[in-house]
Parts: sequence; C-alpha cells; structure tokens
Amino acid sequence: MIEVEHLTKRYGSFTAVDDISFTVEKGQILGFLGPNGAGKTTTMRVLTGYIPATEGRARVAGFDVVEQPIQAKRRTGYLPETPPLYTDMTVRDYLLFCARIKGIGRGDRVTRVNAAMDRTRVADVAERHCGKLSKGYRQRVGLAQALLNNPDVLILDEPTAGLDPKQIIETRKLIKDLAGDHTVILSTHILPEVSQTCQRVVIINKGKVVAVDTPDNLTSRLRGSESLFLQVDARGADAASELGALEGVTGVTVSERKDGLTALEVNSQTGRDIRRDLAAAVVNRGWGLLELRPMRMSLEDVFLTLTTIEPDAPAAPAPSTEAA
Amino acid sequence: MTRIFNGLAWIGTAIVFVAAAVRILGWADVIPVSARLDQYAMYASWAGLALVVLYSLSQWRQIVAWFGGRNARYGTLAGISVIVALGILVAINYVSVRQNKRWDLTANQQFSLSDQTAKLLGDLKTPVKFLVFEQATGFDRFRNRLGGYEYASR
Amino acid sequence: MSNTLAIAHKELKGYFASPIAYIVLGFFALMFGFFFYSLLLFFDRGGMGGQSVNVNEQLIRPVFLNATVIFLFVLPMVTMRTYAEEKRSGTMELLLTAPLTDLQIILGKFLGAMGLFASMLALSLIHMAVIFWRGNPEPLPVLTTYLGMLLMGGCFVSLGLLISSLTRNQIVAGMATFGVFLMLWVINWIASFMGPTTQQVLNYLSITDHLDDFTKGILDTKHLVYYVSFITFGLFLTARSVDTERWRG
Repeated sequence: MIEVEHLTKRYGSFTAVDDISFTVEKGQILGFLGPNGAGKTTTMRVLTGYIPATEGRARVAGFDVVEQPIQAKRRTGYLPETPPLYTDMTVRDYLLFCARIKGIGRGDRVTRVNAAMDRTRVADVAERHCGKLSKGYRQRVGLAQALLNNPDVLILDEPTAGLDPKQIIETRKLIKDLAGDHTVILSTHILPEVSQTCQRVVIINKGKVVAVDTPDNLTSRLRGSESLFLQVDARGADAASELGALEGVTGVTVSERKDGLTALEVNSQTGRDIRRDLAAAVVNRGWGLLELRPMRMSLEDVFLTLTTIEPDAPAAPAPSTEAA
Repeated sequence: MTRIFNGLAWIGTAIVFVAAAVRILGWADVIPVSARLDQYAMYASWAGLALVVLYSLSQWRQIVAWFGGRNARYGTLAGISVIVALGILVAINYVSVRQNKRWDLTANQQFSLSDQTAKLLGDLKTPVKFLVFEQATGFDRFRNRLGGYEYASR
Repeated sequence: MSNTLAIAHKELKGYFASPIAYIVLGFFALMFGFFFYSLLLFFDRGGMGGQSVNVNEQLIRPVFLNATVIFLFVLPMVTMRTYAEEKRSGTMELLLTAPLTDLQIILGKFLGAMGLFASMLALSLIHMAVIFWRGNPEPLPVLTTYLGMLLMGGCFVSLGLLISSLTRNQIVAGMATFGVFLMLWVINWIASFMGPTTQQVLNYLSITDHLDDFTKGILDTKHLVYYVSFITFGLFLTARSVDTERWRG
C-alpha cells in the first residue's frame, strides 16, 4: 500500500531525510518512531504530497505522489502535528468544507461528516467555532477530517500529542480499530504507544532508518541488559561459571575459546555497572585481564537519546553506564 | 573567516547600490552630481561588484552542490516559464495595440469622429504627419483626437 | 470547478466572519459617499463651467475616477490574508495535501477576493440609482465604467495574491502590497523622467491610464487585453511562487 524507496530530502546543506526505504502492507499499522527532529514529519509530508523529495520516490495506494498527486491524495487522510483548522468556521462547516475539497459529492457529504464526527466523538461540539476548541477536541476534529473520504491510507503525525490519558487510550483504541480497513502510518516518540498499537515499527534517527522490526522483537532487544565483552586468560579455570556467580551478573556466555584465552559476554542487570567488580574478580583470581569493554547495541543507543516518558507513568530510569 | 567574507559581500552589495543610485539620480537630475563624483561612483560600483564576485567564488562548493540538485532544475524551469509567459503576453499586447477595435458607446458619439472625417481619413493614401505646439497640460485633447484619426485611417 | 467554488466560498465566509469585510465596505461607503456628495454639490453649482452639462462627464466620471484611490487602501487589506494567513495557521498543509490543484486554489482565492471587491463596488449602485432617478444620465458609459473598475481591481487583486503568497506575515504582505500599488499608481510621474521609448512603455503599463477610456464610455480591445494579460500574469506568478515554496521548504 505504501512504498518508500531511497527517499532523501535536503534543505540546502541540511539533510532532513537520508535515503530511507520501507513498505507498509495493506491493513497494517506502521509506527514511525524517533526523537524530535529525526525526520518523521518530513517523511510524512513527502508521503502526503505536501513537499517533494530531493531524491527517491514514494507511492501511496499504487500512485506515485509526485507523478499522480491527485489520485494519491484522494486515497490519503492526513492529520498533521498541528491540526489544520480554520478558526473562524464551526466544526460542522469545517468538515463540510473538507469533504467538499476531498471530492465527496453533495449527496454524501452530510452523511460522511456525521459519520466521521460520531467516530471521533466530536458531535457535541459540532456548532462550536474551531478556534474555541480545547486541544483534545482539535486533535479529534483533525482526525475526523482525515477520515472523511474513507481513505485507503491514514497518515497520522503524533496523534496523541497533548491529549490527556483518557483521550490517549481512546485515540489508540480508535487507531487499532481502523487497522484492517485502512493502512495506517503513525509517528510518535512514545515507545509504549508503539508496542500497543503498531504491528511493525520503523525507527528513524537523524534522517536515517535505524531499525525495522515488530515491536516484540524490539522490546526484547531493548529489555536485554547491559552487556560487557571480556577477554581473560583464566589459566585453565572455568571463567564462565565462576564469573556467573558474581553478584549482579545475570548471565555469561562464552563466545570463543582460543590459545588458552576465553572471550566472554557478560550480561548484568540493567542500570548496574559491574565493570569494577568484574575487573577486581578477574585480577583477584590471578587471571590475566586482557580486555573489558561495553558491547554496543546500537538500538539501545538510539533509545538512550529518546525521552520515552509516558504522560502518566514514571520516567524510565537512566542507565548509569555511559558508553565508554 | 566566513563571517569576514559575508561582511565583505554585504559591503560590496551596499557599495554597488549606493553608487548606482548616485549615478541614476544624477542622470535624472534629481540631485546635483559633478562629473568627478560620477566617475568615483562608477569606480565604486565596479569595486563593489568585484567584492560580490569574490564572495560568490568563495562559496563555490555550495554553488556547485546547489546546481546539481533537483531544486536547481525546478528553479530554472520556473524561471524560464516566467520569462516565456511574459514574452507571450508582451507579444499579445503589442499586437493588440496595433490592431485594436474600438466602440464608442456614448449617446452622442462624442469621442468618435464625424462620419465625414472618418471617411476622409479612411481614404488617405499617404501618411500624414501632424505637429502640435501646445503647453504640456493641454496635450491630452490633441492626443485623443489624433489617436482617433490614426485609428480611423487604418 | 466545484473545488474552485468551494474555496471561493470559504474565502468569502472568512472575510465576512472577520472585521475585514465590514471595514472594507464601511470605508468605501464613507469615502465614496463623501466624493459623491462633494462632486454633486460642485456639479449643482455649475461645475467646471464651459461646454456641457453632461451628467456623465461632469459627475459620474469624476466620482469614479476619484473613487479608484480608495482601491489603493482597501485592496491590500482584502488580499493580505489570502495566503499569508493560511501559511501561518497551518491550514496551507490542508489545502496542499487535499486532492486540489494549485490552479483551483489560486482561482478560488482570486474569486473570493473579487467577490468582496464586487460587493464593495455594488454599494455605489445606490448612488447611481439616485442619479438615474433624478437625472438623465447615459447608462452605457456607466456600465463600461463598472467593467473597467472590476478589471482594474482584478489587476490589483492578482498582485496582492502574489505578494501574500511570498510571506507568512499578513502585515508585511499588506504593506508591501500597498507599496507596490502606490508605485504603479505614480508610474506616469516616474515615466516623465525617462526617455521617450521608456516613457511610452511605462505609460502603457499604467493601470489608471487604461481605465480612462472605460470611464468615458469607450470599449477598446487594447485595454481589455491589457487588463486580462495583467491579471493572468499576476495569477501565473502566484502559481509559480506557491509551487517553488513547496520545494524551497
């Protein structure tokens, strides 16, 4: 349904999006995850035909967004980060206008608008001016606008930003309900949102794709642990089991045994820095400590730079081992 | 270093503008400009231009990158389309001025010539030149009438 | 077509939902009424004297010629928000991601602005009604005058649209539009400083000069062509400007 190939967008010398490619199958929900400024909004703007890419192509529902913009846009519903409302129009007038410019015929307009308002629960403010709506309502009217033409593809930029917890839950449920009939891309920088609503996730940082996977795979990689690489000359002793018994060590795997030297991967509890204990343990046993370094998990690095705070949950503890 | 270059570019542009302004205003007699001042202004504008060129050269890497990109292609395309459109419109206007049709809708046909005059003018074989001597403020009447003659004699 | 009308309708609704429409209509009503009244008195007292007591020539034509000055002040107010406001409030994203062509958007905004302009001009019909009721003017020259003013207004509106599309800031758009209009207004004066060929060209470009024949009751194709070309070019430039804005970021 959505195909992005080698998409690049440059503003002068600044590269906002750098050679990203991904696809979304019909009926899937794809999460677009990344810190602020990673290029999520830019990518979405290219997909909706708002900005042309510098290089690469994007296709929505089989139509190239640059070559066949009208057909592509007819099948797209877009909710930008700031819902595009006309402040001096009432909600109903606004939605009727949107229905008209999306090509919905006169006969269908009123029914579609009512249906969209019911789905997003904004019927009770139908006669209020858009300028006088609270943030939550604005977001929902924006979502209603995106749903009007029953699009094949829904592109939602941070759809739960600024909503209160109850509204967030409702919106996420709504998005999950929409899957199957619609193909959805939603962008966010909130991790748990991704695991709850999305079937696949693209992680983007500084304009590049860092990972593409299902949320389960990602969180298990995440929930892993601190990993250290250790190379010792254990002079015959079973380094693995001895070190595995140390306090704070959750697991030891031997990666290589060669020339009397043992290479080990030592996992510890998240947030616990055992380098000193480990080094001391090795030296005290009279072994040769040849190498001790943290194992880089690039995905974790990415998430370390994210502020993944759920609005109603305590902040995730910051790990104490900074990459050496 | 770049800041110095940027500053030079701005100074260069400013010099060019001031010098050009001095020359134009002097030529239009809006401000008194001696021949010497005019010459200085000319030198100054060349110097300013040189500064701007120097700045552009220092930015060569950016310029090369810009020209390669899709943006430059679209930009030149847009620019060319504007020039072409302008050209077409100018041509159309030029033709329309020569070949205009005119209808006087006033009840008394007060802005048109009498039938006799019109017939006379229509039968003219050779071009006729009119020289009008009048104060500038009174020109309009003559201009209108002569314009009417020209139209009727086509 | 429906899309163009949808946008024009939205623009008009926007004008009348904000103070702009009322300021524009009120200002015009006031100034035009003032001009009308003064010139009526002047006419009543024998006016310029001399040749004719022709109502058209002595009253209607001067009133409208003076009234065009009002356009200078009023039209920037009409056009300044057309693009600038959309860009500032984010609704441009809505228009550009909807299945609309740029042309539909531009024409829609143009028609919307012209709609407001025409309503403003329509106020003067009251004064015309009074003259026709009490006097005996020729109707045809009046019609051509209205046509000329609509076209002239169209030129200004298309320019105003262009300038509005170049900035996010309404105020900047408004002031720049006013400045450009002013320059075009005095182009005759500027022309008088130039050499003969430049003078001819500049004089041809003068929007006010082309209005002259319309107010006299003369319908000349060269004026029609000029005004239509001007409007077309203005809208074309606006289209280019909106287009390049997309990839300039």
